[in-house]
Amino acid sequence: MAVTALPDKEIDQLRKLRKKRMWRQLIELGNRILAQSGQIRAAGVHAEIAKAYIEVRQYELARKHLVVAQKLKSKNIAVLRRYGELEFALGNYEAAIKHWKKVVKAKEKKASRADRSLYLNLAKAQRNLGQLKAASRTARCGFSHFPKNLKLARELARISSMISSQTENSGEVGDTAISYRTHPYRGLDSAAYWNQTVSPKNCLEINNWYRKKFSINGLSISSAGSCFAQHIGRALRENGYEYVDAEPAPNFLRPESHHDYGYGIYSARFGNIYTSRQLLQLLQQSLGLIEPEDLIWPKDDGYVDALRPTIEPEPHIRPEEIANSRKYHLDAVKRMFKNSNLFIFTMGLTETWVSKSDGTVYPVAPGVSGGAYDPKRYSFKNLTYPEVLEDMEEFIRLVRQLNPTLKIIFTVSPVPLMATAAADNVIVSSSYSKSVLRSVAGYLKSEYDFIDYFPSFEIVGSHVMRGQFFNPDGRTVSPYGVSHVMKQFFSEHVPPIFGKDKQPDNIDPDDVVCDEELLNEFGPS
Amino acid sequence: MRILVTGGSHVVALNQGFKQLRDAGKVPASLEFILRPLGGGLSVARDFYSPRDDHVEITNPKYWAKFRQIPPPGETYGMVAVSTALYSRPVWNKSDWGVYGIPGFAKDRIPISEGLLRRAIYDDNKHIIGFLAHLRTLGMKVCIVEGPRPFRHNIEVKRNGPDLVKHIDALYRSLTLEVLSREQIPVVLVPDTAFDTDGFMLEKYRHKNPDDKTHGSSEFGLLMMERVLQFVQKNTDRPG
Repeated sequence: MAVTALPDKEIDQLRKLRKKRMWRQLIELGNRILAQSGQIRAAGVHAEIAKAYIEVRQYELARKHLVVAQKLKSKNIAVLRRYGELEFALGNYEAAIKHWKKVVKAKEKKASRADRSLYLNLAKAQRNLGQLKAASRTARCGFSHFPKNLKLARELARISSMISSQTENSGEVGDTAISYRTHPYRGLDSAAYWNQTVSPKNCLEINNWYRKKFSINGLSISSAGSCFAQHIGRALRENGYEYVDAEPAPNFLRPESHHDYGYGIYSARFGNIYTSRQLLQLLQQSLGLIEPEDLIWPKDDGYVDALRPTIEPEPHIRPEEIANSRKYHLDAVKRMFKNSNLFIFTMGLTETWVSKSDGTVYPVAPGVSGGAYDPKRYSFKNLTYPEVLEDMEEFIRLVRQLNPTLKIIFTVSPVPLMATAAADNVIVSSSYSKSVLRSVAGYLKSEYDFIDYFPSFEIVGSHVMRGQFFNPDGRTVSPYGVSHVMKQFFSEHVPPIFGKDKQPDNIDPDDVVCDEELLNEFGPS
Repeated sequence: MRILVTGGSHVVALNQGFKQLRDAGKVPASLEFILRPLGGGLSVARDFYSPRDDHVEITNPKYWAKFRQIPPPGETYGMVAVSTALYSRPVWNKSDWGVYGIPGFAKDRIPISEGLLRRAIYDDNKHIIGFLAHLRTLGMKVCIVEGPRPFRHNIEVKRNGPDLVKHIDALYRSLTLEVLSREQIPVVLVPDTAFDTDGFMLEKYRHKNPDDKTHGSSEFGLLMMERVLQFVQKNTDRPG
């Protein structure tokens, strides 16, 4: 094919589509242009197509086009820019900064300046990496060139307030930030304003609930918590994340029975973990730091594990089955914490039942699923804010000793209490529990850079959502609600494009043998 | 009376046995045997049917070449005999028995409860039992024809251990017989004379193909069809 230059009008058409954000049309036109024309200026076309793929979140296709573009013209500014945008979208901020800095340098060499969006994106990437001073310099530089640009002003203000909250003396940066805003509520992100986030929209259109603190791409993820946590684990698996399963089911148990035996719900067979105290206790046991006394409860004609009384639908025939199972389970829990990169915990309750002899807490009150309630042996405890905080900080200390790089995401279950033992209205008790848990989660997020908070509680339960995500019982969350919650999560933590390959159907070779036997005897069907 | 003998691939051996009986003139003219399998063995352990008012609809497309419904439109059966439900191999042959262990067999393995094993057993035969139970409610006589029990030569028996296999097979049998008794589904059992002193099937009942771990021989088919014939003759005058 003869090599011909691409006509200007076709390149202009691509640019127009880009400005109108008509990405699918851009991709179609770009591919048509490439098919019909030659290689001159094709790098630019590939870059435009890559931009469109980035916008529609098809990152692998974007990368393919950028690789071709770079081979054609390795220092093309548009190609470097798009590379930066791709890496930014994937949460690889260092790589994004590298590419964009090359663009800035290339433009400086040509005695021209970068455009405003480049300054803005570079500042954002630096901010996300915690390079606040560099981010501030970039944003100020951009703002000096584009003093009327509101987005740059907002970004600068945001960076400045982050720096201010880190240091008492905000110094020159703080003064500069303030000079661009007449008061602290000016120039904030739109999510900060009720009249931009809530008032003008249908509540289902609210889409800025959550801004991730760190990327979870490529991390091995484990999860635990109260019943709402099951939805999170399932959604992570279904969306291709590497989900830790430290206690997989045996292949002689049918998939439809896995959940009944505690398999495939969380990252290990711990059942629901409702309270901070229960989580801490589990970790302490797995590390061999404590050994609860009262571990086996009688139930009907058998026995149950007092700390996992509903992990199997029928009681165990022999108590030694429980002891053996617990030993393996605790080893699996330790492995789970050690091998995960991220742990997602859904906080559920503050109410719990405690052994008076050694302080062991139980997920279910004695007598409900085994055992017997004896007020001389067990007491009710409604954990307070200081107690929950202390439990969680001790948990964090121990787990980070075991796995120093483990990140944590907390969320609070929006599901209210089924019943309260707090001598109060159950709605009021629920409000207490959720308030305490939400406060602790928020505090921990602000205190630790490796802890984030995801607002499931608010997305389902805040009054602006009008309770539409609850089932008629007013308590459990509908599948639509779960889906909406996870949509907000995945809008920030974009699922991997190539998740684990779907496992082939479990075809047993005996099926083939049986079919051949039938064919030999009875002939073809 | 028309008697349908169906099920998985174990129907092959039964068919071979039936032919021997028929050729020897031992099948009374009043009894019409139709030996027709549903399909490959494992599939009956999954959901394969849907109960209807006057028949059972077969929902697994794999089986449609043989049956879309039982009884087929315009046909009736006086009795339906199914050659599965007491066949324990799908539970004990799995490779994870090298990883997981029930009480008594849990050394160096991940311990699991006997309750879990019982669930695995119930899951394996619940569909075929449900299928037969529904046929009973439609007025048909039904029975189970026991399939071959473990063969010593089976490499899976060697891999998972003969003691474990015998334990699982025995539990499978006792639990399933309990369920069948509750559902009033009679069973044509493999006679005790078919086993060696350790409880494994005698070699003569093994499939002639040495690689076949699953099926019985034509001698096994003859052994069982003789017993099926006796059962049918004893039960032709009794209500379903």
